[in-house]
Amino acid sequence: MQQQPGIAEQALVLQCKQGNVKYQEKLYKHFYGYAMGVGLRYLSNRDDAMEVVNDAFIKVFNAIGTFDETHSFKPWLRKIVVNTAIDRRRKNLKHIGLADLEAAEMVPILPDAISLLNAKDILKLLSGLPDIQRIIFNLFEIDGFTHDEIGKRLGITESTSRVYLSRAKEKLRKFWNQQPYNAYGRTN
Amino acid sequence: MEEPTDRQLITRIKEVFDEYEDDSLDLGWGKFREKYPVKRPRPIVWIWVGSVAAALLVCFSLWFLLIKEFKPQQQIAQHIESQQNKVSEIATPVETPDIQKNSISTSNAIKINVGKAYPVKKKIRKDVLLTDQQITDPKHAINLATTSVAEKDQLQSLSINSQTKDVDLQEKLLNANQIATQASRITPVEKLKTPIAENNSSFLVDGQNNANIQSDKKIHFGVFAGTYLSYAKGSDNQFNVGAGISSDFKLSKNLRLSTGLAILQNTFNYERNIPSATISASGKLQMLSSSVRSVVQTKSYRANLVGLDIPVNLKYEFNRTKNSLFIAAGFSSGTFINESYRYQYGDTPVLGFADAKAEEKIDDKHFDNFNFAKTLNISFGSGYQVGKHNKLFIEPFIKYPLQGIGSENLRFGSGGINLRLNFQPTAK
Repeated sequence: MQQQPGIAEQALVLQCKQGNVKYQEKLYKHFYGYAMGVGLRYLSNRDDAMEVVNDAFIKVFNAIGTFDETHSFKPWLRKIVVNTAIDRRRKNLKHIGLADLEAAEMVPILPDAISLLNAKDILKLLSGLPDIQRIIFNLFEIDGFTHDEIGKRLGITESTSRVYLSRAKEKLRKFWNQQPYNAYGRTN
Repeated sequence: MEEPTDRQLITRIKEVFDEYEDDSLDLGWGKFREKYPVKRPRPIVWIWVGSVAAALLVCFSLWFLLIKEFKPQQQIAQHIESQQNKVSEIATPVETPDIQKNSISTSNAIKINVGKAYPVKKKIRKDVLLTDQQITDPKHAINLATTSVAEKDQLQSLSINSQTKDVDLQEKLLNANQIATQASRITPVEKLKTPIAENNSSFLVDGQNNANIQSDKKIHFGVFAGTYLSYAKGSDNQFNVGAGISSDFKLSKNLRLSTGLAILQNTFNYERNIPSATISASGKLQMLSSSVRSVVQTKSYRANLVGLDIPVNLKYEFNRTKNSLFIAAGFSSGTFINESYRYQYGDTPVLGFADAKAEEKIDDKHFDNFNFAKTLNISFGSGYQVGKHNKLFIEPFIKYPLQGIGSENLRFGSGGINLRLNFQPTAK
């Protein structure tokens, strides 16, 4: 039977609250993959994603004293990583051009192949979206933010946020409706 | 309008990235430490060693200062000397009731002792004869040559009476001499008993009252050693030993502040109900195993802790003169000289993805942290005089944990018995 992660997480957080350096490392390495996954969904560049993750963990350790260890740690970590990633990309959000759309890589996906998608395929799929659409798609559909929250966070209106989301989904649909897959449901 | 494929894709993205593992873990950790270096802890060892040394230095300084201000031994010696002088001036026959009852004037005794016979060399009338006793008694020596028979009869009757009195006197003299001899053999200390006891009891110097003097002193130092049972939830109870030094500072007549320094050992063995802190200690293995879909379980956990304990207790003494019965309560602070943790864990396979294996991890720490007032102390005891200046206390005690202590935040207590020897150096 798998060990209850909640107990280990709570113990890790408690030790980090006491400033135990060894347990900071354990906490970092335990949640690094998850944080990187969040960062890579928002940022195309791997080095940028790593930098965002490290900045997020610094914020985590500085503010961990205020965190209630009885709550789940992942949502709190995710929120910090997302905010850090958005802050990093904020300056680039204004420069949305058709070049982003034209440079998008067409990744045709059959509906049955969706369940076989791995992380690499998904990231490739998301990289085809413009930055603003990618961010809004992740914020709304994956991370559960409302359009109102997204609008305030990105400095856009709620309606604009809805438009960008709609466009993102449409583009993704185009990708998997275009060309047929190979026998394993993946691109070559 | 949302199509079914939208929802499928979104669901798949959530599934994949909720369990995402990245290959750049070590690289990321290295870069993180460059940005967020470890804050070196203050040299806690030297701070606390210095504090303890300073505390001991203050205690000894106070003790030396107080020993100069209050010198009961010297005062007693001076008083004894003065009393001895008084005793030597007092006539020995006066000291005992028997002598007083049969008191005779010293002048009479002396005179009788030195009485000499004076032979009557005068012409003695034949009709008048006196005994030798009469002749040797100068008191009753009479010029018989000039006395008449009537006077002789009167003299004879007087001499008979005096003979009787002489016998009584000699008996009394003999008794007085015997008593005087006994009195001279009495030591000055015993001679002092009666007059001093009546006048000033604080200067008595027998062993019992020496204890009073000892307990009246403002600071006591001592050493102690004990054996006790260490207990913790989920662990087997184990016997351990400890030892240390102690000092008691007088606050009021019956109240003392007791502190000291002790080295205590505590060992624990968990086969089940392993504390959560130890589970997290194997979290690293859990992370490594998660990628191959196996489960890490901590199978057993052993801890060996050697700690420095600094208790601060309030001690109330019920009867300082008799058996020094007391009760004490307070808190303990301290750190650990050595913390040794031994985990045994197994990597249990799930769905055949990994082979089971058991490994052991050992974690050693020294002076990792300081625990302030995290243990409650309660004890009581009784003291027994050992020799002239020392007192042995038997002290059952309990140490109750208020919080977890140590780097693994273990919550444990102990209960046992201490043997404490309080001593006081003799004044030079």
